[in-house]
Amino acid sequence: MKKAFPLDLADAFLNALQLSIQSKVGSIVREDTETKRLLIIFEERIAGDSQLAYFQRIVGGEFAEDADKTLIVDDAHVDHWPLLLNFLMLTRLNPENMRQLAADDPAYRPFILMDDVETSRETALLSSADAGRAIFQTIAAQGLTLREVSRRTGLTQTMLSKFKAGNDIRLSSLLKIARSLGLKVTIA
Amino acid sequence: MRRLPKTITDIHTLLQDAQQLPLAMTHYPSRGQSMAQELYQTKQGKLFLKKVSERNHQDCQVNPSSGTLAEREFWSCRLAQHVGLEVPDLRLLDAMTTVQIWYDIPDAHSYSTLQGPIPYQEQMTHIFECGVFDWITGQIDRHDANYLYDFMRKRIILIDAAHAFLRFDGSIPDYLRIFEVVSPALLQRRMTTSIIESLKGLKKAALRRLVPLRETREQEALLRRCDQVRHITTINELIQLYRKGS
Repeated sequence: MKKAFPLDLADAFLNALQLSIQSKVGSIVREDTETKRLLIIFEERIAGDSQLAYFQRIVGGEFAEDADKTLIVDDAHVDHWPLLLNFLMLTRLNPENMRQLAADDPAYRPFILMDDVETSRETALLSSADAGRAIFQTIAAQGLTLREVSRRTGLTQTMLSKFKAGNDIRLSSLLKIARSLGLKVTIA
Repeated sequence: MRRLPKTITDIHTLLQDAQQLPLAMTHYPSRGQSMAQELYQTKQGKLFLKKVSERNHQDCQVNPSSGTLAEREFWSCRLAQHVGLEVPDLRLLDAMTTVQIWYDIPDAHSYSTLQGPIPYQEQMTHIFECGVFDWITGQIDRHDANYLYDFMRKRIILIDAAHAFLRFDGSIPDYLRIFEVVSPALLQRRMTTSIIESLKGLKKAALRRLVPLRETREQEALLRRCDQVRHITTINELIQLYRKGS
């Protein structure tokens, strides 16, 4: 479930953003209490700041026509703002870092917008315990609850809990869970 | 960019055409840094300038006449490169100012907080070599925000050596402390490492050229610490050296 940008993380988010771009960050505020729009305000905007342009693509924002240092962002465009914060801190929007992080951790795939980035990572599953581990690591990495996975897949929370505890599940159920997490199961 | 231009003139030329970048400090809890810091985007990559003051030396109780904070950091870099340890390339612009390559990677504290534990056990030899280096330089402040984690190459990178080469022995670095807890089975594994071989071959005169400290007690402390590590072959022995000191 998408959550609004947590304003208590504003300082940390602006710090992470500043580490990633050339333009000078200023503040981040909510436009007003009614709308779901955030205003990311820059003190200075550097022409040709490619990292800022990339960030703009991630958050789906537009610069205000009458205030070109203000980036207007729909809060709901980003699924997981704390994860984006982590992504900025870890990668600094450096392409090599982004490629590596995407390969290491599928949770960050939504932020990878480069065509040449390898975003898949294969995990060999030799037992149902391996499958359970891989699945629940991905669930944790994507910040999901069992309730959310249950809602997406139609499987009961009881069944999911038993799977998490190491019990077997049907292949059809495994495929439903994998699909809901953006994972692909292949037989080699 | 992994290496700075060869000459100071070339570095200045690079900086002349560079754009100064804002440092991410306005929204960050104080890191206790009081020295002037500037970050620049050049045509070849980012450069980071640090300028220390007399006040910084007073605050740190470092005698600048033996070696300023900037000089110590430069000598540390030079020694690291001599023994084959990767650190951000760093040069002295003047006695109080250094310029170094800026790495766009997180520090170990940030990485382990945001992403998960760093696999120190997978870089055992490198951890040993970092520990040896921090011992001989008398590193007193190697907490996990004072080294970077290159998660592409899966190795830590030491930074911030301004307080190097004091006459006091250093304290156990965080990466050794963590390694001791998570990998007890590896503590006694014997290793032959290039850093120890380099130190064995490093004569007093060559060391004096690399690290030209001007105070006798600091010179003697450095020599003593170099002697102490020459026969160390396990991480456990290294940890015990930190614990017991001289």
